[in-house]
Amino acid sequence: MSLKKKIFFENPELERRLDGLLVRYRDACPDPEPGPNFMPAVWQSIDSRRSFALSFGRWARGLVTAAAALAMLMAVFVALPSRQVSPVYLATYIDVLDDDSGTDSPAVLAISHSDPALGSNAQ
Amino acid sequence: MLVDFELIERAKRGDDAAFTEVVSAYRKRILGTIARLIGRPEDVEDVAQEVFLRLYFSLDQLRAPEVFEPWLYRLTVNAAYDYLRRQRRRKEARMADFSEQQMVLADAAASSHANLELERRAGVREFVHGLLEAVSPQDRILLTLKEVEGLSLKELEKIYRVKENALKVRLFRARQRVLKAFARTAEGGAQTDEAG
Repeated sequence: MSLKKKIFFENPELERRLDGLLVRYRDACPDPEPGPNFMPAVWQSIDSRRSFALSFGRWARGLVTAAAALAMLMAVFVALPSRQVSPVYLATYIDVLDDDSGTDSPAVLAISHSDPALGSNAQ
Repeated sequence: MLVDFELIERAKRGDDAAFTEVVSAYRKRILGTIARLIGRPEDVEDVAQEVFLRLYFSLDQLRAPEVFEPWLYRLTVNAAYDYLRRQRRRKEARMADFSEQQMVLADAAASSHANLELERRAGVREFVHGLLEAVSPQDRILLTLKEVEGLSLKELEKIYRVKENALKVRLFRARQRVLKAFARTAEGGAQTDEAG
């Protein structure tokens, strides 16, 4: 039987050695004394984070203001052309057909009358 | 508790002097815990500073001063976990890297000479650090808090905010993995002995 299979549930010797090793590890890592620069370094990190947060906040507020201004500008831009809509687009399809007398114009009629293929009008 | 509730309340309200007092009271204990969690003395202060930085900016979320210590341990665990994850990405430690010498150092009896004692301690640190690489950073931290720091399951429950049974299962599995790694190292040492 391999050692690996045995250790999981029935190797008290190995478990005891591991426990001993962990106790020695605890002794080998005593609480270290903090260096003289520990507190100043903590406050320095706090201050730099605070100033970053402040500048980021200012930057974010500026961005929000700019975005709001841009949104308003675009709203105005979109609203303005709708007041000057061309009358063509206000007319219905029937109105446009009614107004368009292109095919009934005298010039078109004259051409159709002078066409020999159409018959007696030319004689 | 190393400080009274009033001091924590003052720090929570933004009193910088009170915060400095809180840090002064806990820094040594936190440094020690981090040293044992990460196993790298050169990086202990950096991780501890990160813990107190996080404490400063999250203190307003503390519900009651009574839960300050588990809260601080939780921040410590998170900072240590982040560190270990970064380290793991940088360097994938291999159990095969353990030399027989490290094994001997780890198992050696206490030496009478001071320099040998220092060497022995360094050897134990290196060996256990490598051994704990066999488990994930989460399990490593949990195992260290329980078996090295000596925290009770009740205390761990408060830190991790999980049920005791779930903690027991995780601890058992983590210990099994470490035992497996330990057995592999012991096997390797035995084979080397036989070959020599």
